[in-house]
Amino acid sequence: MAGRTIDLEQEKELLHRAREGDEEAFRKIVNLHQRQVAATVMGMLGNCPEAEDVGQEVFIQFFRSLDRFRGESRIATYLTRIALNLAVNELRRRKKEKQLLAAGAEGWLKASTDSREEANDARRLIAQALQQLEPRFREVIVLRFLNGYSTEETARILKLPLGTVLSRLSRAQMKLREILLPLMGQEK
Amino acid sequence: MIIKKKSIRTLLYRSFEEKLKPKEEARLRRALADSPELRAEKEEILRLRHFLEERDKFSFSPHFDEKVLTKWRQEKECLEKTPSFEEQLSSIFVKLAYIGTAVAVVLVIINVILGDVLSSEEIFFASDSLYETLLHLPFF
Repeated sequence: MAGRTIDLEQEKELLHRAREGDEEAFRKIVNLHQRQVAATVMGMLGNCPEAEDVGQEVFIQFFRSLDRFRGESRIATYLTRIALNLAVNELRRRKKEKQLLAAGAEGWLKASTDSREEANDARRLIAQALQQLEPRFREVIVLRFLNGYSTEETARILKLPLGTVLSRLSRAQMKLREILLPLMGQEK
Repeated sequence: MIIKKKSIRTLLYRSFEEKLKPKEEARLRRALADSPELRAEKEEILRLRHFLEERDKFSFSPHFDEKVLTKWRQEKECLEKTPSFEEQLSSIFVKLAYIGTAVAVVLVIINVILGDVLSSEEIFFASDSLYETLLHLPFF
């Protein structure tokens, strides 16, 4: 799984140093896990300017809760949970804003997918395709594929039965197949 | 027919995630052999999954770590400047004490100046009649 490039003992040592206020330990945690957090946040929100702000907030919330973090799960899993929660909050905020402005992401999506330059960018392509899925389908794809968690781990993180995760995965892949495959041919 | 097709697709998608029972596996194998459409779907899904799994595509802008640490330092500074709960509580009590004293002084002054209990002369110069009044109070 992404982000797990150090073993449990090294992770405990890193946490200990971070709790002592060692800035290098903080930096190492960020560098070890930023790609995974980016995949979660960008997968959920799309490749937008807010994604990086949410990404920063994920680490800040983790540092704030260091004293409460007992190491029952790996740092990567804990960060993924925070990232998912913050991304879902951001989606709710957007939904409210969309209701107010009556102008949503769909228009933006259509416009961006029309651009050949953006369609050639795999990251944007995935992020845009994911935006067309309902959040409950999006989160299983993000955890299972972009973060590389197993279906069991995905079920545990989302606190869902395994059967639900499997069925959501199937439906999400069917939908993504329709959206992504025609565009994937254009990718360089 | 539709139900059968649907259940075969369910099997196909499940087969990517977990090991099927031998019976189910045999059924799926037969269906794949019979249906070019299903074989194409399997190929496409495998392609899609491979595409999605290249997760290194996602990253934040350069110097992301520095941005997080700067934000964290600012927050820590803010926290250090914020007084602790005990300090905040004691500061509230000090403020309350000042306000209470001021109110008491104002009330006494108003009472003395406007009321008919004690004259300002009696308060400030403590005349003999004041002592007499005080001595006749029930406490003595």
